[in-house]
Amino acid sequence: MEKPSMMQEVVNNNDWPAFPADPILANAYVPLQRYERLFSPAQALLQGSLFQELVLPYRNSVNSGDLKDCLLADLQAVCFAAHDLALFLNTHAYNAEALKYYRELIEARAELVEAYEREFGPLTAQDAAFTSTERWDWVDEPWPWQKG
Amino acid sequence: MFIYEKKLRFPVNIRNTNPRLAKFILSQYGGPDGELGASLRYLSQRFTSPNPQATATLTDIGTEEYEHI
Repeated sequence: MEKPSMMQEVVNNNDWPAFPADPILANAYVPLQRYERLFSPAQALLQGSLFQELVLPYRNSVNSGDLKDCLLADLQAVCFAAHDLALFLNTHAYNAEALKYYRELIEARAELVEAYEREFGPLTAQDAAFTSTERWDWVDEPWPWQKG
Repeated sequence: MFIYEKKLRFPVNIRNTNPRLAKFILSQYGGPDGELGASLRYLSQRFTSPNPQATATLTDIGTEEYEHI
């Protein structure tokens, strides 16, 4: 018998129950994550996850800080949210709602990158093709580990 | 294959230098249980991953670990 291709195993799991209906004793199960209770991108960056149910503080130490009010912090928040959502989509490839939000985040990211690069220079070497017509400004300091 | 972004994943504000702490951080960087090792483990495991979801996730997590450097 022909082995089914791996891709065929990727199915719509939006409506699956978190646990199987007929669990077998002595087997371990990991509940399926749902697309619900999302943080704002800024809160997600502070808490370390876009998904509220995945925030499990070690010894109750909750990050209560605040992000600075600046372009970079906004960009970092949106990038983090998009990154975390991409990980969710890896295992929930047919979740249309999540995919739509991912597109929105990537669009927001593009706008923030443009604004940030206008003020602070290129974020990537590719973008340095557009940030200056006179000189190669990719080499400009500071790098992230240097004081800005 | 990898594109460098001139920004950090999370804002940090280093206020003073601390060589003693730096020693600990250095082992987290390239030591036996450090970020570099973690990155290479994920990025190698993905070659023998049993399904496409896991292959993608190992690629993403391995890249993320590399980001910690």
